[in-house]
Amino acid sequence: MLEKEEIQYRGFRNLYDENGEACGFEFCLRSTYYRGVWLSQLRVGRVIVDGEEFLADSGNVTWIIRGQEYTPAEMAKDNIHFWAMTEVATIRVKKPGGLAQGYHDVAVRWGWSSSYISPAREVFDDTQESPTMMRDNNTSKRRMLMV
Amino acid sequence: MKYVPEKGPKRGVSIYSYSDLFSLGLTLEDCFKEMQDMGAHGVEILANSHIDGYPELTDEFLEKWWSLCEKYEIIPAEYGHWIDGRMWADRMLTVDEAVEYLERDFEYAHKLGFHCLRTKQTVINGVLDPVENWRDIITAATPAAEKYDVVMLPEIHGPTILEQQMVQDFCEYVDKTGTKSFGLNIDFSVFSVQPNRRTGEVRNSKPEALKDYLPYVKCCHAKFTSMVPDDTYMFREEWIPYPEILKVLQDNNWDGWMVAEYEGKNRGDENYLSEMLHQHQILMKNCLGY
Repeated sequence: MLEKEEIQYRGFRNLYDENGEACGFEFCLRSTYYRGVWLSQLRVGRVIVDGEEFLADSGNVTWIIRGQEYTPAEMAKDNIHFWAMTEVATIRVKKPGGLAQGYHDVAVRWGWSSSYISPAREVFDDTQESPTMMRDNNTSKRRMLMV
Repeated sequence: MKYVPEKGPKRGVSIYSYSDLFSLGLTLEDCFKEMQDMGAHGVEILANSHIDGYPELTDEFLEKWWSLCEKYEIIPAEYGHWIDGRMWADRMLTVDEAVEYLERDFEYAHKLGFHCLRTKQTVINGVLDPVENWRDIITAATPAAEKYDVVMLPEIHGPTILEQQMVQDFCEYVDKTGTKSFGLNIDFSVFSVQPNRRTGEVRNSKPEALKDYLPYVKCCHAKFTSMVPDDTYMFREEWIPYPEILKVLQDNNWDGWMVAEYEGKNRGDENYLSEMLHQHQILMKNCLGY
Protein backbone atom coordinates (compact mmCIF):
# COMPACT_ATOMS: atom_id res chain seq x y z
CA MET A 1 0.00 0.00 0.00
CA LEU A 2 0.98 3.60 -0.42
CA GLU A 3 1.84 5.97 2.42
CA LYS A 4 -0.54 8.85 3.09
CA GLU A 5 1.97 11.64 2.52
CA GLU A 6 3.02 12.38 -1.04
CA ILE A 7 6.72 11.82 -0.47
CA GLN A 8 7.01 8.20 0.56
CA TYR A 9 9.37 6.83 3.16
CA ARG A 10 9.65 3.50 1.40
CA GLY A 11 11.99 3.65 -1.57
CA PHE A 12 14.27 6.47 -0.35
CA ARG A 13 17.75 5.18 -1.07
CA ASN A 14 21.12 5.90 -2.64
CA LEU A 15 21.99 4.65 -6.13
CA TYR A 16 25.30 3.00 -6.97
CA ASP A 17 27.26 2.65 -10.20
CA GLU A 18 28.86 -0.55 -11.47
CA ASN A 19 31.93 0.08 -9.29
CA GLY A 20 29.79 0.29 -6.18
CA GLU A 21 30.23 4.07 -5.87
CA ALA A 22 27.20 6.09 -4.81
CA CYS A 23 26.12 8.16 -7.84
CA GLY A 24 22.75 9.53 -6.82
CA PHE A 25 19.56 8.83 -4.92
CA GLU A 26 15.90 8.15 -5.52
CA PHE A 27 12.61 8.47 -3.68
CA CYS A 28 8.99 7.68 -4.41
CA LEU A 29 6.11 10.11 -4.83
CA ARG A 30 2.40 9.47 -4.89
CA SER A 31 -0.21 11.85 -6.20
CA THR A 32 -3.05 12.97 -3.96
CA TYR A 33 -4.99 14.20 -6.99
CA TYR A 34 -8.19 12.19 -7.36
CA ARG A 35 -7.42 10.94 -10.83
CA GLY A 36 -4.49 9.60 -12.80
CA VAL A 37 -2.90 11.83 -15.42
CA TRP A 38 -1.25 11.54 -18.81
CA LEU A 39 2.47 12.27 -18.59
CA SER A 40 2.16 15.37 -20.76
CA GLN A 41 -0.30 16.77 -18.21
CA LEU A 42 2.38 16.75 -15.53
CA ARG A 43 4.31 19.92 -14.87
CA VAL A 44 7.65 18.73 -13.54
CA GLY A 45 9.81 21.09 -11.52
CA ARG A 46 12.93 21.02 -9.39
CA VAL A 47 13.91 18.58 -6.67
CA ILE A 48 15.28 20.19 -3.51
CA VAL A 49 17.16 18.18 -0.89
CA ASP A 50 18.59 19.97 2.15
CA GLY A 51 18.45 23.20 0.16
CA GLU A 52 20.39 21.82 -2.80
CA GLU A 53 18.39 22.27 -6.02
CA PHE A 54 18.30 19.80 -8.90
CA LEU A 55 16.61 21.50 -11.82
CA ALA A 56 14.17 19.54 -13.96
CA ASP A 57 16.08 20.29 -17.20
CA SER A 58 19.55 19.74 -15.72
CA GLY A 59 19.82 16.22 -17.12
CA ASN A 60 20.19 14.96 -13.57
CA VAL A 61 16.52 14.25 -12.84
CA THR A 62 14.33 11.46 -14.22
CA TRP A 63 10.93 10.05 -13.24
CA ILE A 64 10.15 6.33 -13.40
CA ILE A 65 6.48 5.50 -13.98
CA ARG A 66 5.20 1.97 -14.50
CA GLY A 67 8.79 0.79 -14.87
CA GLN A 68 9.71 3.25 -17.62
CA GLU A 69 12.27 6.00 -17.03
CA TYR A 70 11.57 9.46 -18.49
CA THR A 71 13.31 12.81 -18.53
CA PRO A 72 10.95 15.73 -17.78
CA ALA A 73 11.28 16.77 -21.46
CA GLU A 74 10.18 13.31 -22.60
CA MET A 75 7.21 13.39 -20.25
CA ALA A 76 6.08 16.75 -21.64
CA LYS A 77 5.79 15.11 -25.10
CA ASP A 78 4.11 11.89 -23.96
CA ASN A 79 0.31 11.71 -24.11
CA ILE A 80 0.28 7.90 -24.38
CA HIS A 81 1.50 6.82 -20.98
CA PHE A 82 -0.37 7.37 -17.78
CA TRP A 83 0.39 7.79 -14.08
CA ALA A 84 -2.34 6.16 -11.97
CA MET A 85 -3.32 7.56 -8.60
CA THR A 86 -2.73 4.15 -7.06
CA GLU A 87 0.93 3.98 -8.12
CA VAL A 88 4.11 5.81 -7.15
CA ALA A 89 6.50 7.64 -9.42
CA THR A 90 10.14 7.06 -8.55
CA ILE A 91 12.17 10.24 -8.83
CA ARG A 92 15.81 9.56 -9.58
CA VAL A 93 18.52 12.19 -9.12
CA LYS A 94 22.17 12.02 -10.20
CA LYS A 95 24.53 13.23 -7.48
CA PRO A 96 28.11 11.98 -7.22
CA GLY A 97 28.62 10.46 -3.78
CA GLY A 98 24.90 10.20 -3.14
CA LEU A 99 23.47 11.39 0.15
CA ALA A 100 24.98 10.77 3.59
CA GLN A 101 23.26 8.52 6.06
CA GLY A 102 20.84 10.43 8.27
CA TYR A 103 17.90 12.80 7.96
CA HIS A 104 17.27 14.75 4.76
CA ASP A 105 14.63 17.32 3.86
CA VAL A 106 13.21 16.13 0.56
CA ALA A 107 10.96 18.18 -1.71
CA VAL A 108 9.85 18.17 -5.34
CA ARG A 109 7.90 20.95 -7.03
CA TRP A 110 5.34 19.68 -9.50
CA GLY A 111 1.81 20.05 -10.70
CA TRP A 112 -0.61 19.00 -13.40
CA SER A 113 -3.06 20.57 -15.77
CA SER A 114 -6.78 20.26 -14.91
CA SER A 115 -8.58 21.58 -17.92
CA TYR A 116 -11.91 21.87 -16.09
CA ILE A 117 -10.76 24.69 -13.83
CA SER A 118 -9.84 28.24 -14.69
CA PRO A 119 -6.48 28.38 -16.52
CA ALA A 120 -5.55 31.27 -14.21
CA ARG A 121 -5.39 28.79 -11.33
CA GLU A 122 -2.89 26.43 -12.86
CA VAL A 123 0.03 28.56 -13.90
CA PHE A 124 3.12 26.55 -12.98
CA ASP A 125 6.26 28.24 -11.68
CA ASP A 126 8.77 26.04 -9.91
CA THR A 127 10.80 28.99 -8.63
CA GLN A 128 7.94 29.48 -6.16
CA GLU A 129 7.52 27.46 -3.01
CA SER A 130 3.94 26.67 -4.04
CA PRO A 131 4.46 26.08 -7.76
CA THR A 132 0.75 26.17 -8.67
CA MET A 133 -2.22 28.09 -7.30
CA MET A 134 -4.16 24.85 -7.25
CA ARG A 135 -2.35 23.02 -4.52
CA ASP A 136 0.86 22.98 -2.58
CA ASN A 137 2.87 20.31 -4.32
CA ASN A 138 6.15 21.10 -2.69
CA THR A 139 5.76 19.98 0.90
CA SER A 140 9.23 19.24 2.20
CA LYS A 141 9.43 16.04 4.20
CA ARG A 142 12.15 14.86 6.56
CA ARG A 143 13.13 11.35 5.65
CA MET A 144 15.82 9.07 7.12
CA LEU A 145 18.27 7.57 4.64
CA MET A 146 20.30 4.47 5.51
CA VAL A 147 23.41 3.54 3.62
CA MET B 1 -34.48 -11.10 -5.83
CA LYS B 2 -32.72 -9.20 -8.59
CA TYR B 3 -32.81 -5.40 -8.31
CA VAL B 4 -34.76 -3.74 -11.10
CA PRO B 5 -34.60 0.07 -11.15
CA GLU B 6 -37.97 1.85 -11.12
CA LYS B 7 -38.74 5.00 -13.07
CA GLY B 8 -38.06 8.26 -11.25
CA PRO B 9 -35.11 9.88 -9.49
CA LYS B 10 -32.87 7.12 -8.12
CA ARG B 11 -30.12 7.10 -5.50
CA GLY B 12 -26.53 6.28 -6.30
CA VAL B 13 -22.95 7.07 -5.32
CA SER B 14 -19.97 8.39 -7.23
CA ILE B 15 -16.80 6.52 -6.33
CA TYR B 16 -15.24 9.99 -6.43
CA SER B 17 -16.57 10.33 -2.87
CA TYR B 18 -14.07 7.66 -1.83
CA SER B 19 -11.09 9.23 -3.65
CA ASP B 20 -8.80 9.79 -0.69
CA LEU B 21 -9.18 6.19 0.45
CA PHE B 22 -9.22 4.65 -3.01
CA SER B 23 -5.70 5.76 -3.81
CA LEU B 24 -4.50 4.15 -0.57
CA GLY B 25 -6.02 0.77 -1.26
CA LEU B 26 -9.80 0.88 -0.77
CA THR B 27 -11.34 -1.32 -3.48
CA LEU B 28 -14.36 -1.07 -5.75
CA GLU B 29 -15.80 -4.03 -3.87
CA ASP B 30 -15.52 -2.10 -0.58
CA CYS B 31 -17.48 0.76 -2.14
CA PHE B 32 -20.12 -1.48 -3.74
CA LYS B 33 -20.69 -3.28 -0.47
CA GLU B 34 -21.47 -0.03 1.34
CA MET B 35 -23.69 1.13 -1.53
CA GLN B 36 -25.72 -2.05 -1.15
CA ASP B 37 -26.02 -1.38 2.61
CA MET B 38 -27.53 2.01 1.77
CA GLY B 39 -29.75 0.85 -1.09
CA ALA B 40 -27.84 3.18 -3.41
CA HIS B 41 -27.83 1.11 -6.57
CA GLY B 42 -26.37 3.45 -9.19
CA VAL B 43 -22.63 3.94 -9.52
CA GLU B 44 -20.49 6.59 -11.13
CA ILE B 45 -16.87 5.73 -11.76
CA LEU B 46 -14.14 7.99 -13.03
CA ALA B 47 -12.34 6.35 -15.92
CA ASN B 48 -8.94 7.84 -15.15
CA SER B 49 -9.17 6.86 -11.49
CA HIS B 50 -11.11 3.65 -11.04
CA ILE B 51 -10.42 1.41 -14.03
CA ASP B 52 -7.44 -0.80 -13.15
CA GLY B 53 -4.75 -0.33 -15.79
CA TYR B 54 -6.43 2.64 -17.55
CA PRO B 55 -5.92 3.71 -20.39
CA GLU B 56 -6.26 0.00 -21.14
CA LEU B 57 -9.50 -1.84 -20.44
CA THR B 58 -8.53 -5.43 -19.71
CA ASP B 59 -10.74 -8.51 -19.89
CA GLU B 60 -9.77 -9.14 -16.29
CA PHE B 61 -11.23 -5.79 -15.20
CA LEU B 62 -14.38 -6.31 -17.28
CA GLU B 63 -14.95 -9.66 -15.67
CA LYS B 64 -14.42 -8.24 -12.19
CA TRP B 65 -16.72 -5.31 -12.97
CA TRP B 66 -19.69 -7.39 -14.05
CA SER B 67 -19.32 -9.91 -11.27
CA LEU B 68 -19.24 -7.10 -8.68
CA CYS B 69 -22.26 -5.37 -10.24
CA GLU B 70 -24.19 -8.60 -10.05
CA LYS B 71 -23.09 -9.52 -6.53
CA TYR B 72 -23.96 -6.10 -5.04
CA GLU B 73 -26.93 -5.17 -7.27
CA ILE B 74 -25.15 -2.20 -8.77
CA ILE B 75 -26.27 -0.49 -11.98
CA PRO B 76 -23.72 1.50 -14.05
CA ALA B 77 -25.18 5.02 -13.82
CA GLU B 78 -22.53 7.41 -15.10
CA TYR B 79 -19.00 7.22 -16.49
CA GLY B 80 -16.84 10.23 -15.68
CA HIS B 81 -14.20 11.26 -18.19
CA TRP B 82 -12.40 14.36 -19.41
CA ILE B 83 -11.45 16.32 -22.46
CA ASP B 84 -8.05 17.45 -21.23
CA GLY B 85 -7.70 20.45 -23.50
CA ARG B 86 -4.54 21.57 -21.73
CA MET B 87 -2.94 18.16 -22.12
CA TRP B 88 0.05 19.94 -23.64
CA ALA B 89 1.89 22.73 -21.87
CA ASP B 90 2.42 24.73 -25.06
CA ARG B 91 -0.82 24.40 -27.07
CA MET B 92 -4.46 23.39 -26.85
CA LEU B 93 -5.66 19.92 -27.80
CA THR B 94 -7.00 19.83 -31.37
CA VAL B 95 -10.51 18.66 -32.23
CA ASP B 96 -9.14 15.45 -33.76
CA GLU B 97 -7.06 14.71 -30.68
CA ALA B 98 -10.05 15.35 -28.42
CA VAL B 99 -12.21 12.98 -30.45
CA GLU B 100 -9.58 10.27 -30.18
CA TYR B 101 -9.72 10.40 -26.38
CA LEU B 102 -13.52 10.58 -26.42
CA GLU B 103 -13.89 7.53 -28.65
CA ARG B 104 -11.77 5.38 -26.40
CA ASP B 105 -13.92 6.33 -23.42
CA PHE B 106 -17.16 5.77 -25.36
CA GLU B 107 -16.06 2.24 -26.13
CA TYR B 108 -15.02 1.54 -22.53
CA ALA B 109 -18.21 3.07 -21.13
CA HIS B 110 -20.29 0.92 -23.45
CA LYS B 111 -18.46 -2.25 -22.48
CA LEU B 112 -18.94 -1.39 -18.80
CA GLY B 113 -22.67 -0.86 -19.27
CA PHE B 114 -22.86 2.93 -19.06
CA HIS B 115 -25.15 5.10 -21.15
CA CYS B 116 -24.58 8.46 -19.40
CA LEU B 117 -21.15 10.06 -19.54
CA ARG B 118 -20.09 13.02 -17.45
CA THR B 119 -17.92 14.65 -20.07
CA LYS B 120 -15.74 17.34 -18.56
CA GLN B 121 -14.93 19.99 -21.11
CA THR B 122 -12.00 22.37 -21.13
CA VAL B 123 -12.86 25.70 -19.56
CA ILE B 124 -11.45 29.15 -20.19
CA ASN B 125 -12.36 31.27 -17.16
CA GLY B 126 -13.41 31.41 -13.52
CA VAL B 127 -17.13 30.88 -14.20
CA LEU B 128 -16.17 27.75 -16.14
CA ASP B 129 -17.23 28.74 -19.65
CA PRO B 130 -16.11 26.08 -22.15
CA VAL B 131 -13.60 26.46 -24.97
CA GLU B 132 -15.02 28.32 -27.97
CA ASN B 133 -14.89 25.27 -30.26
CA TRP B 134 -16.85 22.96 -27.94
CA ARG B 135 -19.56 22.53 -30.59
CA ASP B 136 -16.97 21.30 -33.10
CA ILE B 137 -15.67 18.73 -30.63
CA ILE B 138 -19.11 17.43 -29.66
CA THR B 139 -20.29 17.32 -33.27
CA ALA B 140 -17.16 15.46 -34.38
CA ALA B 141 -17.57 12.92 -31.58
CA THR B 142 -21.27 12.34 -32.19
CA PRO B 143 -21.07 9.46 -34.72
CA ALA B 144 -18.95 7.47 -32.26
CA ALA B 145 -21.33 8.35 -29.41
CA GLU B 146 -24.22 7.01 -31.49
CA LYS B 147 -22.25 3.87 -32.32
CA TYR B 148 -21.66 3.13 -28.63
CA ASP B 149 -25.06 4.41 -27.46
CA VAL B 150 -23.70 6.97 -25.01
CA VAL B 151 -24.70 10.53 -24.19
CA MET B 152 -22.14 13.24 -23.35
CA LEU B 153 -23.16 15.38 -20.40
CA PRO B 154 -21.18 18.45 -19.42
CA GLU B 155 -21.46 18.94 -15.67
CA ILE B 156 -23.11 22.19 -14.63
CA HIS B 157 -21.31 22.96 -11.39
CA GLY B 158 -21.09 25.99 -9.11
CA PRO B 159 -20.07 28.77 -9.47
CA THR B 160 -21.87 28.20 -12.77
CA ILE B 161 -25.64 28.70 -12.49
CA LEU B 162 -28.45 27.43 -14.72
CA GLU B 163 -29.16 30.90 -16.06
CA GLN B 164 -25.59 31.31 -17.37
CA GLN B 165 -25.20 31.72 -21.14
CA MET B 166 -23.27 28.49 -21.59
CA VAL B 167 -26.18 26.43 -20.24
CA GLN B 168 -28.48 28.21 -22.69
CA ASP B 169 -25.97 27.43 -25.44
CA PHE B 170 -25.85 23.73 -24.50
CA CYS B 171 -29.66 23.49 -24.59
CA GLU B 172 -29.84 25.40 -27.85
CA TYR B 173 -27.31 22.99 -29.37
CA VAL B 174 -29.55 20.05 -28.45
CA ASP B 175 -32.64 21.83 -29.83
CA LYS B 176 -30.98 22.82 -33.11
CA THR B 177 -29.26 19.52 -33.85
CA GLY B 178 -31.91 17.24 -32.34
CA THR B 179 -29.04 15.16 -31.00
CA LYS B 180 -29.55 12.30 -28.55
CA SER B 181 -25.82 12.26 -27.80
CA PHE B 182 -25.57 15.44 -25.71
CA GLY B 183 -27.34 16.78 -22.63
CA LEU B 184 -26.73 18.06 -19.13
CA ASN B 185 -25.49 16.73 -15.82
CA ILE B 186 -26.65 19.02 -13.02
CA ASP B 187 -24.46 19.17 -9.95
CA PHE B 188 -26.54 20.27 -6.97
CA SER B 189 -23.84 22.80 -6.08
CA VAL B 190 -25.67 25.17 -8.46
CA PHE B 191 -28.39 25.43 -5.77
CA SER B 192 -26.02 26.02 -2.85
CA VAL B 193 -26.78 28.99 -0.60
CA GLN B 194 -23.28 28.97 0.86
CA PRO B 195 -21.57 32.37 0.44
CA ASN B 196 -18.33 32.42 -1.54
CA ARG B 197 -15.38 32.18 0.85
CA ARG B 198 -13.56 35.17 -0.60
CA THR B 199 -16.32 37.49 -1.79
CA GLY B 200 -19.19 36.58 0.56
CA GLU B 201 -21.44 36.52 -2.51
CA VAL B 202 -24.20 33.92 -2.86
CA ARG B 203 -24.47 32.87 -6.48
CA ASN B 204 -27.01 30.16 -7.16
CA SER B 205 -30.09 29.03 -9.05
CA LYS B 206 -33.42 28.39 -7.34
CA PRO B 207 -34.60 24.76 -7.33
CA GLU B 208 -37.78 25.73 -9.23
CA ALA B 209 -35.59 26.91 -12.12
CA LEU B 210 -34.52 23.31 -12.69
CA LYS B 211 -37.91 22.40 -14.14
CA ASP B 212 -37.29 24.03 -17.52
CA TYR B 213 -33.99 22.19 -17.96
CA LEU B 214 -35.19 18.70 -17.07
CA PRO B 215 -35.68 17.53 -20.68
CA TYR B 216 -31.92 18.00 -21.13
CA VAL B 217 -30.83 16.53 -17.79
CA LYS B 218 -29.84 12.86 -17.98
CA CYS B 219 -27.99 12.50 -14.69
CA CYS B 220 -27.39 14.51 -11.51
CA HIS B 221 -24.51 14.88 -9.13
CA ALA B 222 -25.96 14.84 -5.62
CA LYS B 223 -23.25 17.08 -4.22
CA PHE B 224 -22.97 17.42 -0.44
CA THR B 225 -20.43 19.00 1.85
CA SER B 226 -21.94 19.18 5.33
CA MET B 227 -24.78 17.25 6.96
CA VAL B 228 -26.74 18.54 9.96
CA PRO B 229 -29.64 17.06 11.98
CA ASP B 230 -33.18 17.80 10.81
CA ASP B 231 -36.58 17.21 12.42
CA THR B 232 -38.39 16.21 9.24
CA TYR B 233 -35.80 14.33 7.19
CA MET B 234 -33.50 13.21 10.04
CA PHE B 235 -30.64 15.00 8.23
CA ARG B 236 -30.31 17.87 5.84
CA GLU B 237 -27.50 19.33 3.79
CA GLU B 238 -26.36 22.51 5.49
CA TRP B 239 -26.27 24.60 2.29
CA ILE B 240 -28.11 22.71 -0.46
CA PRO B 241 -31.96 22.55 -0.34
CA TYR B 242 -32.40 18.83 -1.08
CA PRO B 243 -36.14 18.56 -0.29
CA GLU B 244 -36.95 21.34 -2.77
CA ILE B 245 -34.63 20.00 -5.50
CA LEU B 246 -35.85 16.42 -5.22
CA LYS B 247 -39.46 17.61 -5.21
CA VAL B 248 -38.91 19.33 -8.57
CA LEU B 249 -37.40 16.11 -9.95
CA GLN B 250 -40.25 13.96 -8.62
CA ASP B 251 -43.13 16.30 -9.45
CA ASN B 252 -41.95 16.52 -13.04
CA ASN B 253 -41.47 12.78 -13.45
CA TRP B 254 -37.77 13.04 -14.06
CA ASP B 255 -36.17 9.64 -14.53
CA GLY B 256 -32.48 9.14 -13.81
CA TRP B 257 -29.68 8.68 -11.33
CA MET B 258 -28.50 11.06 -8.65
CA VAL B 259 -24.98 10.00 -7.74
CA ALA B 260 -23.66 11.21 -4.41
CA GLU B 261 -20.54 13.34 -4.43
CA TYR B 262 -19.12 14.10 -1.01
CA GLU B 263 -16.84 17.14 -0.97
CA GLY B 264 -16.73 17.94 2.73
CA LYS B 265 -14.09 17.45 5.38
CA ASN B 266 -12.36 14.24 6.48
CA ARG B 267 -12.73 12.43 3.18
CA GLY B 268 -9.72 10.34 4.14
CA ASP B 269 -11.29 9.16 7.41
CA GLU B 270 -13.10 5.94 6.52
CA ASN B 271 -15.54 6.01 9.44
CA TYR B 272 -16.42 9.67 9.05
CA LEU B 273 -16.88 9.27 5.30
CA SER B 274 -19.24 6.31 5.72
CA GLU B 275 -21.23 8.26 8.31
CA MET B 276 -21.61 11.18 5.88
CA LEU B 277 -22.61 8.91 2.99
CA HIS B 278 -25.23 7.21 5.15
CA GLN B 279 -26.68 10.50 6.44
CA HIS B 280 -26.91 11.85 2.92
CA GLN B 281 -28.63 8.74 1.57
CA ILE B 282 -31.10 8.86 4.48
CA LEU B 283 -31.91 12.46 3.58
CA MET B 284 -32.54 11.55 -0.07
CA LYS B 285 -34.53 8.45 0.89
CA ASN B 286 -36.72 10.47 3.25
CA CYS B 287 -37.31 13.10 0.58
CA LEU B 288 -38.20 10.58 -2.13
CA GLY B 289 -40.05 8.11 0.03
CA TYR B 290 -37.89 5.20 -1.23
